Amino acid sequence: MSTSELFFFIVNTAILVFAVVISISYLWLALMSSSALKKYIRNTRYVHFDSYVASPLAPKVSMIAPAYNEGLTVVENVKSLLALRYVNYEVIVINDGSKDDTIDKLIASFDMVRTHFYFEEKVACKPVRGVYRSKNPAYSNLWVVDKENGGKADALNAGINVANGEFVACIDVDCIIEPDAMLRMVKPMMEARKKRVIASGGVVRIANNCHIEDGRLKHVNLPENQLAMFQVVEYLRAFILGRMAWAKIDGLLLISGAFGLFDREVVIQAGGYDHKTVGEDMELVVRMRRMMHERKEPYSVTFIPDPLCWTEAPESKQILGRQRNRWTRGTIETLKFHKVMFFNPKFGLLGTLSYPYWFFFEWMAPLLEVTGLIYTIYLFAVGHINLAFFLLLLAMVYLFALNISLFAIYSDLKTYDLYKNKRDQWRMIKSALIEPFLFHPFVVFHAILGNRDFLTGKKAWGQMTRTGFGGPAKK
Amino acid sequence: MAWRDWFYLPLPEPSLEGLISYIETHPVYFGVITFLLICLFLTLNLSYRIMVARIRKRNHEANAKQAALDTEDLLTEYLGGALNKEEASNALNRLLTNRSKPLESIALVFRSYFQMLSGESKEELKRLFLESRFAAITQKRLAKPDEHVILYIELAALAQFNSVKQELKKLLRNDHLDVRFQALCALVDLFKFNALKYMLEVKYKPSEWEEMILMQKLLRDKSNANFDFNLFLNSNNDQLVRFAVRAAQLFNRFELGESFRELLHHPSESIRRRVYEAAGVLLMNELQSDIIQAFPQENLVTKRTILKTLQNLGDDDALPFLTELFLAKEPELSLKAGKAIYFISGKNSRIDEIALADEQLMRMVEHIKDPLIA
Repeated sequence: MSTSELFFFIVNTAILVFAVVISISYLWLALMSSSALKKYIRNTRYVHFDSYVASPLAPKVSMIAPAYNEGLTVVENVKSLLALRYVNYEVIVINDGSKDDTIDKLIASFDMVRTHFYFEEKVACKPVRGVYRSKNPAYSNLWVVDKENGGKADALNAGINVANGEFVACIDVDCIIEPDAMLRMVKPMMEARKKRVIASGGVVRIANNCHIEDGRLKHVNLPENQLAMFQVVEYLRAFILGRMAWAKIDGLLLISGAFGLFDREVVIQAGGYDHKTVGEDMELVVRMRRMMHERKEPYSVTFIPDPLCWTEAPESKQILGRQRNRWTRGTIETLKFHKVMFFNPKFGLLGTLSYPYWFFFEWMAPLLEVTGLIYTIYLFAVGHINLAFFLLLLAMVYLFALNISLFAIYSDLKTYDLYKNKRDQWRMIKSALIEPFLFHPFVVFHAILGNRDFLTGKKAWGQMTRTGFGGPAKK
Repeated sequence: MAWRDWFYLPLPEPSLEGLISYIETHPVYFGVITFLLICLFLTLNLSYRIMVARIRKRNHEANAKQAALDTEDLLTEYLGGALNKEEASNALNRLLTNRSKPLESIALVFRSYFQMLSGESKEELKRLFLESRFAAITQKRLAKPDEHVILYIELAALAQFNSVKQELKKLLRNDHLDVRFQALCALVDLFKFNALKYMLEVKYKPSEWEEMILMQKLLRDKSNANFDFNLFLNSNNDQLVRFAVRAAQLFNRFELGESFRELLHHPSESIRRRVYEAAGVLLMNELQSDIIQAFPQENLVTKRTILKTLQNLGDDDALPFLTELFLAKEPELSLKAGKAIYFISGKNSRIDEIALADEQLMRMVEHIKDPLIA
């Protein structure tokens, strides 16, 4: 075998192995999720969550909602958080050094007064300027913390320092949370018999174009914007198929920053959110898990497939690009911080399966895709490609990817069935059909930019502009 | 390579021999084409299923809605006196036998009526339930251990369907944890079943979730308050002990102080924490010195619970210990100790004097005294 033949053989074999393994893993995730989802639906179908929301035995939950320049909508959002159906909870809003009137609006609308709160720094955060409570007993479970700007992770840490609950729910202040979300999230933590459930993640759904009134979701619609539409399918795949399966085998590494519930003690022992990364949500989960493994304490991380949190997805390419860039940097940073876990049997499934999966299929996959593309062009140039075979392979890969999306849509339809408008299913199928040609290359491109920015040491979060739920645009 | 070679795609001869030789000569092509065809089949199948599932769902939803409406109309007419029992029973049987009317919808309407009504109306509803085929259907569903029966367990319980007791007892041995627990709850609701005795017998391991639900039910029946909780407290089943401590606390069993004293040395940290908590709520001042003694060995969370307990006990004897802890400026603990001092001493508290000349302690005192924080 000549050197060039050997080269082609090695590269081709490597690509083939990668493709086969990633396909098998997607298939496995889909099947695992499907059975986990069925089991969950079966077990909770007739649970009367409403009957237990007022139980004094339900554990206390502290909801932490960081707000940065949210002056336009913060009052409405906080009112919606205060109206959740759960008796034992507090809402802690962190004004992260906003440049607008966020804090003034909170003080004025909720009759807040600065207290003599003794602030103990259990996890590191920027200086706190004041802790406010309301004179109005109707808002007795509301805390407002005013602090210097330090980013989302820093604001969440400030909230953790103030929190009194057994559990902390870290949320985005502008998310729409379902009224019984708290009890549903707390349930797996209370049900644990042998293992301590240290964190619980919830499904995040896209709220663009949904009918929202008084901070409550009234009617579910699919987005009009095609970019947001692609994200609906993508989120279904990621949450309904991906995370559900990982939770089933207790290998979940990521709980969305938009909505997650954590055991406060474990979060504090792990050191809270890390300011050094832009992927603070994933990093915290990995660090908590690593700590529990190192201590050899039995634990688990669960996931609730119920649609409990609704968020606004970016509708502009620029903002979506920034978001994907940041997600990529966050993933790389987390994997880098915890590289000791890579194929390390000491960390069990986490080290031998979850971490390598993220390494190869979340971080490396976009890089390999681009390399593969360049390699294909090269093979075309040197005449090493049989076009018919190439097209066959391309069709096979496309159909496989399409099937994964269709399966996610089907699973959602069979279980939660939220999209009831006449043409919704067709619109989702259509998005799944064109997504590999339009949306996927876009995501891969920004993942590559994320890799570049990671190498150049860029740390910025990037501005996230939201249009608001039916309200005026806010920045 | 010639351009036409680029498009070369070998295909098998249309015969079995041709296919076998194709597999032998072109295994990669065969693999790819086969996988492609499977994917194509799946794509078409899934797309069809999605579109059909939506239509089926819509039909099912319409049927379910109609069944619920029909049942509501029927019950309203029956309870309002427009239909007698026989007529209503016949109409209900017709609904139950109509395959297009989802049974679950009818059951859900019955469940909500049972929960909503009281007195004679509820009795009327119960009579209709028993007289119609619904009771038999419910019993049949309960007898099938593989079926998801939670709704029917509840329905039977709400209807106080006496003949179902044995079925429910059988369900206590069901493989499915949720069904077992629901059967237990139903037996408690329906027959004032002695859940405590049962739990002891089978060494039941309640989760905190189950504990919360069960406790809510048990508290309704005052006879449980007299249960001999010592039987639980000596059990080697930690979850049961933890449950019993909480139950004893909620049933105000003040006399269990001595049993609790023994549990202060229990190897399980969560049990000890429960005991500290219960001691504080039940004002078991006789345990205070033991609790203070145990303090240094406990972890931070349990230490915080102990400080809350001492605050509840409100005993002056704890003040020297609390003052020492307050002055130690231990993170997370000093503030709680200061709070306990302030609550125990009330307005006569000397906490300002204790904290004098120390800025950090003074800030803690300001926090403790702030009425908005308390």
